[in-house]
Amino acid sequence: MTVLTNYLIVGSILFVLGAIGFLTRRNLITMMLSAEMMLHGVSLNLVSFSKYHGNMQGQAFTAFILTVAACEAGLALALILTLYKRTKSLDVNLWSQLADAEIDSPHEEEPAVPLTQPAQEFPHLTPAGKSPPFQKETAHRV
Amino acid sequence: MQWLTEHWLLVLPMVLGAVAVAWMMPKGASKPSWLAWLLGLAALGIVGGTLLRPADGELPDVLFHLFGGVAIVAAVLMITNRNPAYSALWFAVVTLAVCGLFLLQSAPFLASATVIVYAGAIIVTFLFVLMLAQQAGATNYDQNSRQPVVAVGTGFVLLGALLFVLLPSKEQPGLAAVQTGFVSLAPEALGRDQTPQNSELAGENGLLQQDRNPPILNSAVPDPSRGKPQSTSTTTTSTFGTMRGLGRSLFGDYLFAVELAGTLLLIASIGAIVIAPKRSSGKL
Repeated sequence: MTVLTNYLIVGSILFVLGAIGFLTRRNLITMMLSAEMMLHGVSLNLVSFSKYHGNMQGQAFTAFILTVAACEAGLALALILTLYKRTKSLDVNLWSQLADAEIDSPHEEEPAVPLTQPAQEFPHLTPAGKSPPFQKETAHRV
Repeated sequence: MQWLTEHWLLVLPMVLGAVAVAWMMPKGASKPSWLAWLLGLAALGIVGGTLLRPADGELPDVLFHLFGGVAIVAAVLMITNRNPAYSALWFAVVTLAVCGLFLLQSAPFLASATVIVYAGAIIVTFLFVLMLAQQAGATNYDQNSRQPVVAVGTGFVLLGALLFVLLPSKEQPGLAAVQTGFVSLAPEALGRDQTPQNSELAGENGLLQQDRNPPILNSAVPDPSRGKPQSTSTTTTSTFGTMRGLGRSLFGDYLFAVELAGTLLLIASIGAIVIAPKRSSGKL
């Protein structure tokens, strides 16, 4: 029988990895996913203590954590979409001017690194009711 | 220095894991990752092989090591991946592994509910938003994490402190004999485990619960397994881990909290509708 401490160790590792991801990543969605992973670590702790004590209180708490996580995800995605509408980017560094003016920027300005993956071009649908520009495209190809 | 030589088994995997995670963090041009894999797996092997309590080699132990290892490796890959869509998929793997651990801890309802809510709803919604907002593919801010070395160092110092508290040490030799890791909680827990056998303790708990619970609940949900109304928080081993036990706990002890949680869901959905950008105010 695996004892309680092992589960607590796995839960704490998940919590710390989620915290590192939340601190370092700059994509808003990855930050939210890291926060959800911290919640996983806490849930694992609660379920392990529930098994250890032989009652259902920990599992009931985990059910509430699940509820709050669902609410949090919905609200966070709505907020992320609103933020994206303003800056057209998911970069969280663009919102660092919320700090006081005399405090230095918390992040250093990096030069643009050449992307490791080539930027993908997705096909665009032609709007309905318009004829696609056949002539121009064939001319471009030729 | 003496402290280091005594606790090198705890310090070494922390240092190796921190170096591995910091190396894999996206920063600048992509680096070869085989070295980080080597270091990280070595740290995980040290933790899994020595720090964890000795296992009997039974099936639950094997499954615990399998699910725990998968969860940790997928978690590292999630926070270090340069593509947020792959990060979301690795998070789904973490969720499934954690649900396996839930199953091992006799929480089947929570395992299925977590799979449905996280892997079924949250991941899909995140991927939708990702595809809506990031159609251009790879971006610059995903390739550059913010202060990775400092954050990883802080995180692993926190992890080392947690493990130092959790693991048995030479100053407290009684921990290994009790096989729990929490001496102050152990007598109560052992008593709780023996509740069905210990009639005196069960009767005392039952009286306490009867006084605390509203009488309407007790009469509305009678337990046929026992003559008298049974308490919900001291669930016996027969109902522990079942849907029935969880339902009694949720709708007995935590009835008002369940109602509050439902209200919270309603308010959150209304708030999400209000916050989300309207179609009338232009394209996203």
